[in-house]
Amino acid sequence: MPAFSGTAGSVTTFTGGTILALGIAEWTLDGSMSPVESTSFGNQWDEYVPSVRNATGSFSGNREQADAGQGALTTSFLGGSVLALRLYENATKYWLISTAYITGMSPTVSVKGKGDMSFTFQVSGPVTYV
Amino acid sequence: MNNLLAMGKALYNHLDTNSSMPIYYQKAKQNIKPPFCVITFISATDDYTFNSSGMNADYMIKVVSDKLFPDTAIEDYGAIHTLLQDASIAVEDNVLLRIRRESLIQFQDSQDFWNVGGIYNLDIWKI
Repeated sequence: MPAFSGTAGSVTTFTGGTILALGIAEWTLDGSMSPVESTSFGNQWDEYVPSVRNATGSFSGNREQADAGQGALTTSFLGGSVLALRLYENATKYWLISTAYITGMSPTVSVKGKGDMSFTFQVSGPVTYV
Repeated sequence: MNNLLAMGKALYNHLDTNSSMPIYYQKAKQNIKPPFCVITFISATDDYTFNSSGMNADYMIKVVSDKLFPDTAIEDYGAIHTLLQDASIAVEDNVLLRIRRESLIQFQDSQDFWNVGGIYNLDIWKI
């Protein structure tokens, strides 16, 4: 199957119990690696060797004031505590992040719109695809 | 219930209950004596999250008058606007986040009736 619909995506925290974050409309996971250059005399092209990977991400949607999932996320940010996340692509496939820190949150209220909320996070350690 | 029906019924019932003016949805009866109020659906857009949905809709709500000048229609519409702006209206299967006017309209139609009203935006979210 070459593509899939994002309609069944979700963001779930599972620190101290699995909690679905309500109101979320999109998430992004940004993985990166910084290869170490190993170019030496005689090389015609730059060469690199693999190095450490890093991941950050974000998710956003409606502000759900009474939702336990968004409550866990805001509590994690305000308390500076670690969090585990699952970013679901559909009902069964997800990215597993065992250690994440909420690095930013942006509740937004506009007179012309509804209340919105966005979070950013920093991954500590590996990301796996389940 | 679908959102179009739910919003239309909610607007109609709210105005019909709280206004002394005859209220019509989409089109008025023929040969009725103005003034009366007409609710007309314009357009709506869907809004989704992973686990819920909402709708943002625009309605034209106007008072029609057969007077020579628009002042009576303007006054009558003022009362309608007071009933609508930021009103608490029950929309079946949804929560109404907001109803608010976006723009005013005033024109004389081909029958020389004055049409005075506004474009109202409704933001609803599925319960």
